Amino acid sequence: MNLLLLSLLLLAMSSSAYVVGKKRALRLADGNVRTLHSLPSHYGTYAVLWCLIPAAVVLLLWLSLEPRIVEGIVVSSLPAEARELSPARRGLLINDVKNLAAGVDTGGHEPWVLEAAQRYRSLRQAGTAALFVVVLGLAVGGLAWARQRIHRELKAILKVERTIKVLLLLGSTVAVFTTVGIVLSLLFEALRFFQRVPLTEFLFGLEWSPQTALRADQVGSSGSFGAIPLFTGTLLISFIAMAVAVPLGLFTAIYMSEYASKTVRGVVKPLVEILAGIPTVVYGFFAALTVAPTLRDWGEAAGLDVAPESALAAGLVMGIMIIPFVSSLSDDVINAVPDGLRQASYGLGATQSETIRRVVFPAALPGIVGGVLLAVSRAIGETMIVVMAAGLAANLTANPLEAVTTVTVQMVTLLVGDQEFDSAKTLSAFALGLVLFVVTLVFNVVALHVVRRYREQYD
Amino acid sequence: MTERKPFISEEQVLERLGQRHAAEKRFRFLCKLAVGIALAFLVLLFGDILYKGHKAFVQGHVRLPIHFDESVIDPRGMREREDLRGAGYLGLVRDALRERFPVEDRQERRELYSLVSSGAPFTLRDQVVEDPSLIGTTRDVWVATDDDVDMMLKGYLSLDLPEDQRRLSDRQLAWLGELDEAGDLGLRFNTAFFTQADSREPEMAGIAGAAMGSIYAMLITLALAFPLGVATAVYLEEFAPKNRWTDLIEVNINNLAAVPSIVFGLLGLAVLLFRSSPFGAAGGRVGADLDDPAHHHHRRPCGTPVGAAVDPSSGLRARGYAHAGRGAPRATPRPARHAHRHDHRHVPRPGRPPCS
Repeated sequence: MNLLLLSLLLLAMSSSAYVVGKKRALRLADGNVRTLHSLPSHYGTYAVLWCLIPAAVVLLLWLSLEPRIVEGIVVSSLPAEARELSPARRGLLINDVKNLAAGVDTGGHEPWVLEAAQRYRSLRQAGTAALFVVVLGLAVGGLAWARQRIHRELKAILKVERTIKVLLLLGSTVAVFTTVGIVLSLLFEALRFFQRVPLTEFLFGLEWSPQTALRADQVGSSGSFGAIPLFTGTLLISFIAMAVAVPLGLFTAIYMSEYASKTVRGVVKPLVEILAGIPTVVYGFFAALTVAPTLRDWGEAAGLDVAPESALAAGLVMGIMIIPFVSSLSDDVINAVPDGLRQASYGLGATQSETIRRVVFPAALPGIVGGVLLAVSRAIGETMIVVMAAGLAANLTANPLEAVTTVTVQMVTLLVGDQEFDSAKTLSAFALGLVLFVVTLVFNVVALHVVRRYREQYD
Repeated sequence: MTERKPFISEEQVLERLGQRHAAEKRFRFLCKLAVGIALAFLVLLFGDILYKGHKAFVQGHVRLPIHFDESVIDPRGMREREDLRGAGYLGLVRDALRERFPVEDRQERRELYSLVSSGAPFTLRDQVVEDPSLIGTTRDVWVATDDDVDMMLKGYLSLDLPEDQRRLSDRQLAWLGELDEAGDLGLRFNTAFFTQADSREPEMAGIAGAAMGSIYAMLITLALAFPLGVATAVYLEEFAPKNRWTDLIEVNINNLAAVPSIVFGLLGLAVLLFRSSPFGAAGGRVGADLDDPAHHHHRRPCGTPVGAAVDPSSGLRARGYAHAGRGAPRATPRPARHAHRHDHRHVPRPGRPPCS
């Protein structure tokens, strides 16, 4: 709430900064706007930037550092016995203090804990007040500074344009930082895992049974972390999904781009896109509550033994979800094939389907392959549908009627558990995540490469 | 020019023509079939969800005549809010039930009381707090029934089991039958679904808490993803020179959009753990953070990984539209574009607004 108020105040200040800057420029121009180097609005923007940027930078730094600093102060003022606790206990103690300060009282606290909570709360309050003063002061100061600097020869437009360019560039680099963050966090934890479980056992082991000892003397805690069953499960379900999605998606795309009239296309295309917009949780529900039992009943009637969480159910529903991906990507590619090729084919007397099969499709093939690869990477990384519809036990099989588990399901079950974060069991989730990340990345790079290399340049 | 003998005869051509047209018809049918199957799946999905879920919007209610007895609700007579909130409304509900169906022994009484939801007293409380003039009157109030009764009304309870395996006894069913005949039992619109948060009691559970959480997460995501995405798109389309660094940014954005969302979850988890226990993640239980009562701890980290996931795809999409919108400024003839620039009014416009 405080943050919101502060932001609104800053925004209000910025708008007034614009007005102030513009007015000053106009006054300096003294009726003849041509004497100014830039337009009056640029002087206004100049003032806004000076007002907003220093204040915003300080605000962000404060927000990220203040909790740590306050925590540090409170900790250093705790009695000696608290400071000598192990990091784990100390962390829990800090949490207690914070909860008390926030007004959540679980009772039974020693007086120094209550004191520490008081200190924490008053420090935070003082910090917030100081934040307001400093940030708004900086905003006002920036505005005054800018106003003083505005004069007729000031090249406001150049400064403004350059500043905006730098800001946009910084925004773009967030993507890079995010990638770096993902890779680093995954690598860090995965390396800790590989210190306990060798890489070869993980990548080539045939048994996945991730149990680690909760206590040192526990029996039956031998965990095996061989991920091959997970990989085969993922591949099986993805294969079923692609077997559904690729034919349906491709033929839908061909219909919409070649055969459908404009009105039909205008109706059908959005409807198919709706399939892409449905949350995957809903698909998972559908798979678990309707598709899987129906398949089970059909299997029983046919004399087959279908598991209640068969790979077929999950793969089928996943395929439905992926149809729009294949369909719209292929649609774009097929439309991009120049009409001249088609007309030439018709001119030779080919029917429409022959043209499609022999001229259009081969021309669009690289794009279609790229699209299919992207869809495969989507299928591999899909989580919610398989969490709800696929099984939990690792099963090394190629039979779609059995229950298999995938990489993503195991990641979820391992992390939503009660284990210490240090154990090999929880860390294996990061190792799995790393594998998933690398595989989907490779698929995407290959897809991009295929499209770029084999695409015919038509224009 | 001498006539050349054709390679195949006219009859062969005509015959082949027939085959080719038949193949064309089959191909066209196949395409239409694919579209039909895809749309059928859509209809099936929506239909199934609606069919299975539509009954959640109604809830079993029973109408009871409640005496809003002042000696129970407000013995001090001062109409203080605390008094009104703390009164024993459960007694009022039970009195009304016993009045309707007199019972003697303990077992019968327990069965009678269990017909009504344990949230019924709260319904009465809220009514009295809002309108204290109810005190002293007798009104008919619709209160929620217990979840077993609700299931029976909706047809989900199997009644043809022997009594000791059923969830409702014969006596209870007889009472319910009487209520139904008098018009005091029925399914009414389930407002609790939208106004209540999680609950252990099925009939009192609602989505309000979860909806708030979703809205907060969405707002934070939007606040993060939209500016960053648009900034990236505008920069890459309008300002960026063609060098290695911008290529790197582009490749990174493409990759981020391809990463499965669960990996972003891992990133969020790693960041969350790092922030909440700066003295080392060792020993910090994953579960502990999920139980953190000060939930405001969560909202920011939750938004950031989601924001990071939405950001590249919205950045990609925004860039895609910037690509599309690129057509517009590119279509502007060169002299006009340069004149624009010199006019110092050149503001990069990403073209068509993102539609979806």
